[in-house]
Amino acid sequence: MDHNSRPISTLYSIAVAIGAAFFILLLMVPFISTTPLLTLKEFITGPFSSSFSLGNYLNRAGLYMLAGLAMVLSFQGGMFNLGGEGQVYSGALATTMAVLMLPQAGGVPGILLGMMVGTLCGAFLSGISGFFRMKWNTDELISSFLLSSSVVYTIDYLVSGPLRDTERFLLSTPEISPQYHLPLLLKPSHLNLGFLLVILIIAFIHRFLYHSATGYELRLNGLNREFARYGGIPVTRYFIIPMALSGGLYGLCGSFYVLGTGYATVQGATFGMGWNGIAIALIGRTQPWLVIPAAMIFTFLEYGAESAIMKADFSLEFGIILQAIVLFLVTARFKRTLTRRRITDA
Amino acid sequence: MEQIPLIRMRGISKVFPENGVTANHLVDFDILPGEIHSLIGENGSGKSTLMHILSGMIHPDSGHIETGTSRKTFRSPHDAILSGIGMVHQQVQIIREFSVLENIILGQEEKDRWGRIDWSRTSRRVMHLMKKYGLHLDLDRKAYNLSIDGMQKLVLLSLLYAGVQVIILDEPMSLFEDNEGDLLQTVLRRLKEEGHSLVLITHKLKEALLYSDRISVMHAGMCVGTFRSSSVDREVLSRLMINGRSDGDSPDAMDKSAEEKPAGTMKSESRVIRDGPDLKTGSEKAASSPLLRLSGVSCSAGLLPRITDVSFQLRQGEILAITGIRENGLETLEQILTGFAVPETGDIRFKGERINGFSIRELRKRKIAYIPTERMVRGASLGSSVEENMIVLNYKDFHSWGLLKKEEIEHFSKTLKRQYNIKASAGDTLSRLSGGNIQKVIIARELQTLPDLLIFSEPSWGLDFSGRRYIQEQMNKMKETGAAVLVITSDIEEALECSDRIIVMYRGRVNADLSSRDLTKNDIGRIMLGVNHGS
Amino acid sequence: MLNTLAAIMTPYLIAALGGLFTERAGVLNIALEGQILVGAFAAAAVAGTTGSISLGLLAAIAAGGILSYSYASISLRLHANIFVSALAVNLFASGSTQIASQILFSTRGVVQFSSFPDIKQISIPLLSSIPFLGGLFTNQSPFVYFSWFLIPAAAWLLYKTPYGLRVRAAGFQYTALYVRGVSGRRVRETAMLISGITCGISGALLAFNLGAYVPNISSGRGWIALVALFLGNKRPGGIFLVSLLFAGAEMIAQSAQGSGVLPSSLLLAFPFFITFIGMIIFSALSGSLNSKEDKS
Repeated sequence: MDHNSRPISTLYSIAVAIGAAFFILLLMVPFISTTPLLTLKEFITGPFSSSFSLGNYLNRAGLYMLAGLAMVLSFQGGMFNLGGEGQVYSGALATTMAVLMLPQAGGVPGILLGMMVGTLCGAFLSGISGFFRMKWNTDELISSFLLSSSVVYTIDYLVSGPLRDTERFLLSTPEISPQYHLPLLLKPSHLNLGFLLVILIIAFIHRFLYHSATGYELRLNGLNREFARYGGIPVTRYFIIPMALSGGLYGLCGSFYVLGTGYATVQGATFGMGWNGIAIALIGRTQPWLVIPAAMIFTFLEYGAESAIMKADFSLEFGIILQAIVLFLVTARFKRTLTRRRITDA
Repeated sequence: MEQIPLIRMRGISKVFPENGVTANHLVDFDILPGEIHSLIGENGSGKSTLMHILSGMIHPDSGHIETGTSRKTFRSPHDAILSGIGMVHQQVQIIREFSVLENIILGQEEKDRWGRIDWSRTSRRVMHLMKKYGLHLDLDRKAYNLSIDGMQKLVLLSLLYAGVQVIILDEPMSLFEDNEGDLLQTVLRRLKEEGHSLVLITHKLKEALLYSDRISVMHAGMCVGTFRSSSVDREVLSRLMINGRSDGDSPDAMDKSAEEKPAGTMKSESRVIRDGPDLKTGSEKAASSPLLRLSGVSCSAGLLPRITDVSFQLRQGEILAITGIRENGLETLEQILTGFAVPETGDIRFKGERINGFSIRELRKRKIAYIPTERMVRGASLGSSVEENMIVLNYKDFHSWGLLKKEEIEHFSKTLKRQYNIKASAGDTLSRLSGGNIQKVIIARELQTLPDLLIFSEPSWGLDFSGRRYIQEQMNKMKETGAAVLVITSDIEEALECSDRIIVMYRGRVNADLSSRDLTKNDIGRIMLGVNHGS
Repeated sequence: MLNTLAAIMTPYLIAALGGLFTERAGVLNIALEGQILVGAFAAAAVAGTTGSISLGLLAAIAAGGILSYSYASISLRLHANIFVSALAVNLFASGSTQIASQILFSTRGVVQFSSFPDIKQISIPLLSSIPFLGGLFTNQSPFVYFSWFLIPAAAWLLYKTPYGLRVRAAGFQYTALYVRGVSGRRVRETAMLISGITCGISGALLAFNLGAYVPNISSGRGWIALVALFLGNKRPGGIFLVSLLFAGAEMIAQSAQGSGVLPSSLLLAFPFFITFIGMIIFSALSGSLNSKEDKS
């Protein structure tokens, strides 16, 4: 596999992913909508119809970039973190609870604390799977997924029960106080400082992976663990580190959601971030900077579907199905990226 | 005496898209009924590819295969087997958890009336085959217990069970060799008597001449000649193998200082350097204390074959070869010496320091270099760039506080490429390099650390003649500077050719520890079988 | 009480015995859940509208079989990661059953029918008179008896037939199959088909018991079947024992829920968590059996 991704082949893969999704959409729309042209129009122009839409579009793209970055780290380390859903959700809840318990003073330290707590929560959940992979060769793909699923249901319960804010009509925790909100960038949309922070984080991660010794060790473990072992590079720690980093970023994603968009943990609000992270990382060929275009396109599809649902009569389930198909196609198309994880003979 | 060929391969060409290498170019190859036909050539000459095509593993780009009167296209090994052609690979694939019998019949199970596997009929048939061909195995044992030649017998039996007539054997010599060299001859003879045709893929000329009726030589993807083995000798064959021509000197040799040297003179070269009183050449360090010393080392950890009471020394400026059958202790010894296994008893001392159980990282810090087998997996990351592969031993020098010293890395890799004559462009992914160049990257990387001890496992695996000569030169250079080389090899000739001293292992023990000058191949063969060395 | 226990156990047992083949063939099949779901829907839809249990059953078998076979085929041919595509299948199954429900029955919720056929309960004459154990053979749905029959049938298929040999070969050393002329891909596709069929039946069972279709009717049973597979050491006998255990656990859970002690969403977390723990224990005990060898 060509490690130095050539721009053309990346554009090609992204083009294929979009092309496939659009094609399916075009096929489906006439069947499910009574006003196909309106549906399509809303789909394509939805994100750009106003600064509100545009801001929200970018905001969500930013969150997906972070999720994609989480999976980039996982894949580069040769691990498959399938617990994103639970890690994001738990990061969101942890941040919410931490901030709610803080006194009513001081914004920035509180925000930082919230982010830290969310990151640690996600890192811990994911790291457990990494640990068991190291210790007993338990497939982290399955264990992370199972743990995450049980966490999701548990948080669903917590948010609708013991931690619920009974005054809100949503199933949600209480809102965090305004001083802990991330500053907005484009009112009245939700676009906030988090978006810029994400870009910074991407730059940092790129640096880390390609310019640091630890990044080198991590990547080599992902590419060929046997080689790393015989070359004297530490190996055991790199079952846990990629998983923890990946989970940490997912958890941070949940934090950003709470601090910048939702201001509380609403049941099901972060659904899909985990899965989409995988798709985005694969479309972006597990290169840090490429999650930006990948996320922009992916979010465009999702956002377009939602506009079409709201303003035309596109239905929610088709959105889910579209997502499922894209996920499926993405793994089928990009088999080479995934086989980095499983070393077959040359 | 003109026989009609059983199998005709005509105009076979194959280019591998991954690296653009032309493996086969318009090759014609015939197999006569009842013959033993050797296919010889250097690594990379295309002989394996040709046979992979014949056995259905690979599809040719052009050309065809004729059996009898019809042209066949093999889309998979299954098709080839149905046409009566089967191959016993070098790395056999068997299912460890199954019994020998289950392995043999997999894919050709016989059913009874109820749809169940009819074990009694099946085992009767297999036992009949075993008797007929003299291939005896315990059918009920689980396959993981088998030795390598047991596994080969298993695959052979399964091919015979399938009714295959043409059998291709990939490097059978290296496995049956010297342990049961006579067994190979017996088996080949039986097969021939029963009317089978055999193709032996090998790079060993002597054996090819000994065992086969005809020999075909592959060179650079082309078949450069087919001869009756009675009408050629080793000289002609080697020249064909190396140059593609049977006459004169060749401009093709990779090494710049190429003089035409038939195989076998490596030893005299190294002898020249060694001549005279021992250890006074260029390198000082008289035999005060040994560089590496093992005393009473035993290990029977888990799945590894056990070794018992191994003791030997290695001095500076010496090349020591440890040889024997790989499963008789070489593998275990290698793992112990490189920190992948821990001895139960005994001492391993390097420069006086006890290094039992030190990890490979710690060993490298002490200037021990290690080139393992399976170099494509353990020694390289094919998906990374050449530079990234080169810096794996000293990457920390190039990374500091998140800053990548790019120019320094480039300079470093350029120097290495020049010093070791590696053909690669900057930024190339390692998989784009030829096999020989990849090996050079691996070797260069280890040697540039200027180690005091180099542990080299199976040096000639995966290398052709010029590659092997290149390695010999590197090892000799190390000798001159007072470093030492420990070669672990199951190839007796290599052991003889490259080393000063040889240790022969047999059943996990050291059976002989002698200067290589005093030994011949037969001596070693006998020692490996447990016969004590007389004179 | 034994009666109920057996009845609860049946859907897990049937689904797990099908999943056994995919597992032994070296494929981690997490789409059991989705397959059960489509089976349940198909069974309910057809049985409800035609009034025939048998037709409903056939529909379930067809739905489960077609779904599993097609996604397996496509994934294997395109070398997709079978786990991720199974997740996509589960998502797809839940989405499409809802859509179909909407289109056919104009509802996204519970689909009820004016008259839903009943399953005749059967008692086995001699055996039902055995004291204590006789309860097992009295007034049971034929599915229960079928599931018991399935245990030796699965064992026979796996250990005695050529296909079973190949399945086990695929699980142990997939790469060894090609040279022997066996198509590993076809072995796996067939295994998936088997699991699709059994999951379809399992889903049909659920629908028939309720007499209706409820969204998310499978609620984690596919996962529990998977655990039963793992903890049962991937053998029919082991699967039986573990299914028994889980049936007992569910009986307890049901009474707990009825009494309002444990909320339902927490209950949903339970199967996943148990599977997680089971996996860890399994790998701690079995060393390399759960290893990461090539499962492509």
